[in-house]
Amino acid sequence: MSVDMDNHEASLEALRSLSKARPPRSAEARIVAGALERRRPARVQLRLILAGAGALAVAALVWVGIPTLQLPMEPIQVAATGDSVQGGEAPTALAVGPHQVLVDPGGRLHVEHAEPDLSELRVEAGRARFEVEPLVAGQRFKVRTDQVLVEVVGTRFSVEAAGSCSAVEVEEGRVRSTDGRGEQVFLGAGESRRFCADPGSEAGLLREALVLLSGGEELEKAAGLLSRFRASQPDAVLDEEALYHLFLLRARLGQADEARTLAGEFLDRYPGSDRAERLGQWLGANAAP
Amino acid sequence: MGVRPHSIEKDGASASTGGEHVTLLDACKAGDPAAWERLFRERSAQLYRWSILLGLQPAEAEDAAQEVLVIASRRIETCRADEALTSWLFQITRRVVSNQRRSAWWKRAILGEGPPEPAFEHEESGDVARELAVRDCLSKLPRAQAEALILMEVEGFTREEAAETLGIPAGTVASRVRLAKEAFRNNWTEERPVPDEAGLSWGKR
Repeated sequence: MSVDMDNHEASLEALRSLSKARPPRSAEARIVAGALERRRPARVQLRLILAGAGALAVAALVWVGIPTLQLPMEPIQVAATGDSVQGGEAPTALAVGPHQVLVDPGGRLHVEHAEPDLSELRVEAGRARFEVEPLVAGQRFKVRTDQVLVEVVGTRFSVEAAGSCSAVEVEEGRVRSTDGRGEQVFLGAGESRRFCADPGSEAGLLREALVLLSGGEELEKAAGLLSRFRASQPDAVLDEEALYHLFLLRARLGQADEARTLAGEFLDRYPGSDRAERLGQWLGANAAP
Repeated sequence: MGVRPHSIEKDGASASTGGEHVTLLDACKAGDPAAWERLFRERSAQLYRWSILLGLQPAEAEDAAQEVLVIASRRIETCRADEALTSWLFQITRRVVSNQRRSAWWKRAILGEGPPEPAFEHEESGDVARELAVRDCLSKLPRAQAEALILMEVEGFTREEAAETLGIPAGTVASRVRLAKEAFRNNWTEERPVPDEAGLSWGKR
């Protein structure tokens, strides 16, 4: 009986001794490497829409693997750290490492990092679209604006920065969004969320725009700041000021159609303004062909 | 007792991201590749061990463990909580192992089982003999009994946790484990290694 009990305990002891048994390191490495390789998604694409902006909200987004969307053009430039790309009349395509970027007309993109493990881009104006190759662990693809940081690791979603709010909409996969206060929220496929900043924070946009305008430099940037201000605070008391100067900017830039639209909007919204007469005269002299 | 499943969960259940406390499962669900790599590294040895104890040879167990990880990455949304991760992975593993054995039956039928190969890293040669003996004894148990025995005696699951994992009543688990222990001991007595080879006190007396 004692021998039986000894055998019984010995057998269970032997069994339990395998509770922490590990495979040879080479086998473990093969398992992990194989699984990581097989988990890799196909090509992925991110479409990031940056429509002007103005927000304190920061959305840091992590996105998961997705099928592909092809950009309409092949890369024509290979971007390096420090490059700036100005969109021409047609979309400008470039390669950032294995990734493709398309800068829309009027858009401006700065390449802050183009390194094997880190691609970091800043959209300074307009819209840019991104087709991101599958990332391996440790690689990052980031896109920044003044308001939003988007960190891509796979999947498909859109980010729109407009005024003091940023809208995140997830088409496929799942993202983690972090706002300016550091609060995180997960969004799944089909979900969307707006992240809005303190409305008072946008006053600086108008001031900055007027400074640029008075100096006669960087008029496009000034126009962008004014657009962001107006989008963030459509009913602000300073909207009349912003709208008027935006009209002046467009007119100075020779963008007659846009200037006419803005003048019409101004007259509709502020018919009693002492600037209305001047705008009316301008419209009379610059009627649409 | 073996390793408690909850301690396994605590070992690998959380990850810090940007000052926020995000569970490893959440990070994986969000598609974070670093989280996936961490999960794979933390779990690969466990999945391999289960595959071996459920009757696969080392090369097959490598394939099975890899397959489990890939399936897990595709179906992670169905894992409801960090606390359930271990049992969820075990459920996948038992299906994968079962499929693997079924698909390889013709190979075994033609070539035979072949001599058992050591599957784990060992510091002493006697441990190899013990490992082979344990695997041999487990292989002679009915599959259902072996699963219950592995969960409770190797992985340290409670009866209730094993019941939930296997989808059977706790009483049935207890019954299977009792029968399994008895059969395992009998097999052990019959098949135990020669003490001189094993060099261990638990060998033939």
